[in-house]
Amino acid sequence: MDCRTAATLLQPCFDGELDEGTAATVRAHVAGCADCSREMAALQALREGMKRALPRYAAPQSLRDRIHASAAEPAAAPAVPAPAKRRSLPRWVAMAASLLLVASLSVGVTRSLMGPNVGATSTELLLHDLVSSHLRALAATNSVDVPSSDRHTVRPWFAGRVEVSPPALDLSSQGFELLGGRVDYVGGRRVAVLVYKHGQHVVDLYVLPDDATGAATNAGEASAPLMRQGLNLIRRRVGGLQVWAVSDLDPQEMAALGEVLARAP
Amino acid sequence: MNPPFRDESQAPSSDKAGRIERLILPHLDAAYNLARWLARSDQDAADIVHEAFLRAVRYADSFEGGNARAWWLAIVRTTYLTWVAKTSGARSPLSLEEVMTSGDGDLPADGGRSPEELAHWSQCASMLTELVEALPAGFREIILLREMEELSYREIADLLEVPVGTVMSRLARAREMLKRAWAARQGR
Repeated sequence: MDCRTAATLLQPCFDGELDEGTAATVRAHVAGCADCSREMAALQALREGMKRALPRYAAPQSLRDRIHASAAEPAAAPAVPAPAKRRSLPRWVAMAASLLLVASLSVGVTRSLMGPNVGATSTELLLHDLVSSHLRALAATNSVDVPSSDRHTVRPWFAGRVEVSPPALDLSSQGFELLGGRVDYVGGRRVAVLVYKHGQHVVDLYVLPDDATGAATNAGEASAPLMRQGLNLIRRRVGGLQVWAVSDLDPQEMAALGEVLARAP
Repeated sequence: MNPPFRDESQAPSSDKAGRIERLILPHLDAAYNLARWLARSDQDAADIVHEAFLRAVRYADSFEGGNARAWWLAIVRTTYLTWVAKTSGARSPLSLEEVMTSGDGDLPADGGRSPEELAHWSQCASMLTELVEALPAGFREIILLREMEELSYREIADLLEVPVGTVMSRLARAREMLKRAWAARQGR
């Protein structure tokens, strides 16, 4: 690993955000590089300095009392000055979706987003999750946690990391080259994502349990893919699982991918 | 794993307030700490957290279990942003433009310090508080969420509603600014 590559990975390594293999490579480089080890020491010194020096402010008792008093009186909410402008529904739905995403982060919540009576909304929330996850992965420096073009390497990696293992799909003959896999949060669940490359386009395949939100509806089951924020999404059932493909491929190519998935064993 | 309040969605609003109070109480110090660091005033921080609580009660239905602290801190941060907009009439202090353009151009470059010199940091670290307070709010919040609240990149990304890549670059810049400001204070 050269210094330039190591430099971009130094902070993620320091923050414990890299997979073990990459982290070991970075640490090996740092051990033999004066510049990088000085940078690493600086990060450590900054962290320790902040831990030691920065005051952690505790909530005063008066605030606890105020909150308790507000909680006790039912008329609490109207006392808040009304917002100048009402949020429009889509904005609110997006916010609720991201709050849900945040809420479900560190715990493997096995609950679907909402009850079955709100199928349409929960499908929208699921689509929102899929689109955000795809865009976030594209923006990140590493969109895969386990880089490998070998499906027999990628599949076992998911064992114990997600509720349902992804199928070992071989799409290479259709021009979809496997880049690797990652774990992401969709609909409040930890799911496997298989990442493929098709020409210049990245295709994320999300493998969800069949009982996941959106499964009850026919969204994405139609022949034409759904479009959200310029991305195409298509859903297929593969071996008793729910697979969503998300990409900026054009609708025809997405539909063709849908055909391939539908024929997968 | 399932929080005990999960099936109370039909409860009247006063119960809802009590439920949210029980939910956020363990994280009240974290919320106050974040608000205090963002607003830099005891009175304002208390007002912000109180208003955030009322807001949390209104958004109660959006919480479905899981990481209550991240959900609650996101509400505190949003409340802070609204509060700033209301009190100053200015645009959001955490807007990307400010974050991208706020300069460290007049700060001297970090000329490369030895680990021994850097170990010196922790001995005279009290100055760090001042330096962190002087950071633009967008950088201040990100380094606090990482170093004080110890949230992961993904948790921060979801809290701030930005991509993980943005979290990484903003955090790197915040650290760089602190290091340079520190070097400047050392009389370099």
